[in-house]
Amino acid sequence: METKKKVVIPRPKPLTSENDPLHIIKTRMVTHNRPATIAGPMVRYSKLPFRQICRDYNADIVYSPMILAREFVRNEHARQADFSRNSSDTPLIVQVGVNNVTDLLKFCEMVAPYCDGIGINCGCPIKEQIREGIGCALIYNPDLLSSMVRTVKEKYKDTLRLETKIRIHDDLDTTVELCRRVCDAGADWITIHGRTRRTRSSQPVNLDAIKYIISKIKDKNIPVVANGDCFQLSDVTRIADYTGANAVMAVRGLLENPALFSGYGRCPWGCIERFWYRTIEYTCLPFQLTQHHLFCMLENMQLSKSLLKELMSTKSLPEMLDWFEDNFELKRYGEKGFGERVEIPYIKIE
Amino acid sequence: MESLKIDDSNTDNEVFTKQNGKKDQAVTKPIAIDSTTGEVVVRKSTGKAKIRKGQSEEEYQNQLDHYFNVEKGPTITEDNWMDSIDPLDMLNDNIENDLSIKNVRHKLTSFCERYYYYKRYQECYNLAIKLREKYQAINKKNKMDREIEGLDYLIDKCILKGDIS
Repeated sequence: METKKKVVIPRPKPLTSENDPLHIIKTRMVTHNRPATIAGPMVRYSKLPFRQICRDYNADIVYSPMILAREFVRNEHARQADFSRNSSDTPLIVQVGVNNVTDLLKFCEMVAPYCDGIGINCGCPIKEQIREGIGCALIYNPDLLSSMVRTVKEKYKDTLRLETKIRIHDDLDTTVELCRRVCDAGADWITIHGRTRRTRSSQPVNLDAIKYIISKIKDKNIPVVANGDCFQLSDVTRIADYTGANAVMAVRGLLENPALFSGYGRCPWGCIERFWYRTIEYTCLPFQLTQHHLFCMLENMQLSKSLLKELMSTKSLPEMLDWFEDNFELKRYGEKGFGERVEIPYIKIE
Repeated sequence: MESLKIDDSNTDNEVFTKQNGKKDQAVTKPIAIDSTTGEVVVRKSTGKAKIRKGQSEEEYQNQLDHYFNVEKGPTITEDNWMDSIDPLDMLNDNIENDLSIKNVRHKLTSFCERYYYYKRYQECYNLAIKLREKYQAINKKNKMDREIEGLDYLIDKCILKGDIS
């Protein structure tokens, strides 16, 4: 019987000062006089076109949506649906949903050549994932989490960056203990979302909790990223100053205004044009997702409810494009002024 | 045989269950059954244990082979990648471009949409006409009606907007 040749697995992507997320997080304050800015992971939404417009507007590091390791390592269709990239999609952290060491190691092997770091999702509060021991369940399973971190870091050392994004516990000292264990296991940095598993996003983030945890793990000398309620550029400095975090992650704020890290108080029109261009070029977004992205941005720009309703009634990408043409002056890539305007260029007078 | 049980020893777990007073709020700690394959036991919504099957080394090697040697890693879509491909060539019958696969059809329709975005109405029209013909030929149980309607929309609009020959 013929023995199958063992597959040659590419090495992790080389890390330089340009793409090493740890280096960026540690040095942005010195090089740019501000904390590092990070576009966090959103289920479904953090796909390539959206990642690229976040980069257009000053996001230093961008996350993929959570990818389930179990599916990724077993199913080619899941891989094709979950992960597409290009040469300018960097620095990129691929976030993974995982509940065992074996799947995580396999996932790292398959993804490390194509990204700049891997983040373990320990914050997703969706009950279907928690039942599987994925996402937020991991903050209640420190043995497994630290074992996953340790195994990956022992194998890859500094050739692969590994992050954990956690939520806080009701008892903050439990979170401190978890973070200390994750640090000891070798995580490169920790992202802390200042909400518990049950805190609704309508409730304000607990920055005091993040500050407390950072103060208690200072001796570990590991960078911390603060996550929660970053909606304006001014929030970046405020959150970092208050908590002592090295970097700030925005998530929901970017969905409404991907230009927030550039200092735009509201989503600029140029962002809409850029998003259209990226969506058309990369072809990886289903129509409904594209429509929802545009809805979030236009709502942030305070487009009237009647027009938003019209937008949502369009049934296909070409029909939605025609709706834009009918109502606004939409520039294409290559046209003068493409992606630069701030205000909505209405055609019809409302 | 001893039945499988989920580890509920975590104190936080108890706190959650009590504080919420709701079902499905307990935290699952998966139990690793076979660390070489990744087989674990998790909890279903009913509370019963469920085995998530592992992946043998042979299966994994097959996936690795396919991923690195056939798929060539994740899909890469650079700006303008479509300029280097003629979608009409993709319509030739072969396994790679099997039109019964939704992803293949999505890719081809994306070419039409890109032409439309750039106001290249003649090219959009030509491709949409060809795609509609091919899609209609394999439209079983009207499952592709929506995709065909989308092409009809493009064809009508191209006629309206462009100087179609």
